[in-house]
Amino acid sequence: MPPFTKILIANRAEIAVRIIHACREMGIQTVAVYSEADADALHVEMADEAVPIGRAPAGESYLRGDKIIAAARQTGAQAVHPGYGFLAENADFAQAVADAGLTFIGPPPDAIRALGDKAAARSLMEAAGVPVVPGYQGTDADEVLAEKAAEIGYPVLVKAAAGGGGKGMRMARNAQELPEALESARREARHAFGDPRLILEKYLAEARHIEFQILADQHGNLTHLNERECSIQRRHQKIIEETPSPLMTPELRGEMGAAAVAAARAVGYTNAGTVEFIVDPATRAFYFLEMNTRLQVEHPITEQVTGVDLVQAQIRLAAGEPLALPVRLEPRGHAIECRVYAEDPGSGFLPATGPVLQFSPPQGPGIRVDSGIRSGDRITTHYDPMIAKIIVHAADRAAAIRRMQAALRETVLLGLTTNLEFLQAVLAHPVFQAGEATTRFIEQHLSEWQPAPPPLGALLAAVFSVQYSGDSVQCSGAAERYTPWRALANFRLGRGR
Amino acid sequence: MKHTFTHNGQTYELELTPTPDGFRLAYQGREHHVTGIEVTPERVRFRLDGVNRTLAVARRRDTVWVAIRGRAYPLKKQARSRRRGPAGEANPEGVLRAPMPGQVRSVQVSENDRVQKGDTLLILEAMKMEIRIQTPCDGTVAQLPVQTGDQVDKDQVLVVVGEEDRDREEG
Repeated sequence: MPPFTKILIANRAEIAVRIIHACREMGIQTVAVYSEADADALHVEMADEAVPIGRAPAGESYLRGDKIIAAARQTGAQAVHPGYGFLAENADFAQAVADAGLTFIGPPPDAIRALGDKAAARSLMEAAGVPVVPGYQGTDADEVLAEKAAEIGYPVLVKAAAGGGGKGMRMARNAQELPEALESARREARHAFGDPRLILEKYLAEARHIEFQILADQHGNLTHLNERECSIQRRHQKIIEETPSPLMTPELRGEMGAAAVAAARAVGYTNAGTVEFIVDPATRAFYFLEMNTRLQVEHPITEQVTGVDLVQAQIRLAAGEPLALPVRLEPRGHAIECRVYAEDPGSGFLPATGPVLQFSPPQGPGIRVDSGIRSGDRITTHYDPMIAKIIVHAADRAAAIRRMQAALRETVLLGLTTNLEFLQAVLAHPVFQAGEATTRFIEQHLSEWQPAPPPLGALLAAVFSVQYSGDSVQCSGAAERYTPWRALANFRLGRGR
Repeated sequence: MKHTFTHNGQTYELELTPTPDGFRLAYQGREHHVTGIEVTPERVRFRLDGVNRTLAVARRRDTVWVAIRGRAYPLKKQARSRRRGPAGEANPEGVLRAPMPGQVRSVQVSENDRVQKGDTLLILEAMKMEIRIQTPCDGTVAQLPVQTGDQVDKDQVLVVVGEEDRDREEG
């Protein structure tokens, strides 16, 4: 007997596809919602039912909680899975879902609210005995902040209390830079989040981002499913994640895991969540950074090494089932995820748009690809330009890196600029291979990266593709010399060896 | 026959001469031999200096995307310099492209309009800014492949301004 009969997925692209897969396996009916831009998307096709919810801009569709709840009512869905991003960490939406008599597949609205406010979260964690980044989250008077910044020790990060995603964040390297940093951060915080409150945190120059996966049922049982190392980031966004962390020892895992569970318990957490820590690689001192009250993009690597289907776990936990996992789950092997984005790493990672002319994902043992994009789809500026997640699992870290390199080399993605080649440059880098990359890795080692020039084979392929296809290139109006061959869709010349 | 492509701001030129079983290829001062050419809309196969190669390709307008070992190269075909065709194609200056992805907010001209240097031909909305696409030269609007409301990509051709109309028969 499945825990729910029908679930509505309040999301799109790869995570919507992922959730639909989990529901199918559990015998649960699925409802997709889609904007006009996604009418032909994979997630819409895969779902049992699909409800249009507005025009392309997220603000008119995927962020419209009212339309989503109406779609759930209309189709008789009993639960809503928010995925990640969009409304996943919106406490008001979680509350509205509950008020509508539906189950929100995630934590209680209060937990979302408590952890969404960085100032409140820090206070909560301090009270729970979880180490936090040395900092300050009290009154906002500039004189007090200046005093506290001096106590913490420069450089200091000024952050919006209501913020996230790297917005409303400024760094002050010394006391002279502080007033400007405060004013600037406050302005952005007011504009982006409607809340000018700030917190201060010590800036750790060399840091590793290590997070712990939490699962909690509605009966007071919590556990963690080990860590993920997510230090390869650009624009404060992760692009490569792995587990286990090369920095981890069994002792550190024990300490950090216990702290993560304590953090989740402190807010009465239920369902899936992730506690993010900053770790000083020199001392292995760790500090609570924030907790994400939702499923993470990089959840597949935890699934690979633990064998636990996190989305199915979320569904069962939301239905009130008890946590049914062994107390300790030792990771088996090593898993890496690479996020393939439509962007130009040679030009400051500017997002790219355009049609996906051909997408051929890699295949083979230990290779998993999570994607909502197919050949013929268009990447637009309306949504996050992630095309696919390529995940590998192998016996150890070296084997996983080799497997990922082979997988990336096999991937065909034509029609728009992507970071596929850049990802290969990261994996080939000695610092990454040694497991020593910090969150400043890309800035320190690959800031000047440019794509390689086209090899002769590529140029030749272009010549023949143009020469022998049915239609001629638009800008050349003259008759081609090899006219007899143009009409053929498939062309062969000189097959003899 | 010469073939020219650009990639990432660089130009690459190949010269192919037919042979009984394929082509002789001259590139960057070296000679190569190409045989066994097979072409479909998605794949190109050939034997280059005795080594078989199969590459995934995709065409879009004047660009061929080619995949090799997890890299993708957008190779833009360069028109040959001396050609007959609608006025304006021989002048790369007159090909006005979108500087970034956006949406065509309004089009101020039609095909065959005479325009003067500095005239605004089209307004693009991108990243919450209004971008005026102006003609860098006097001429005639030769091509107008977009219309109001179109979503365009970076480098997509918006307008082509040709040389002043001359009284001559096009061949």
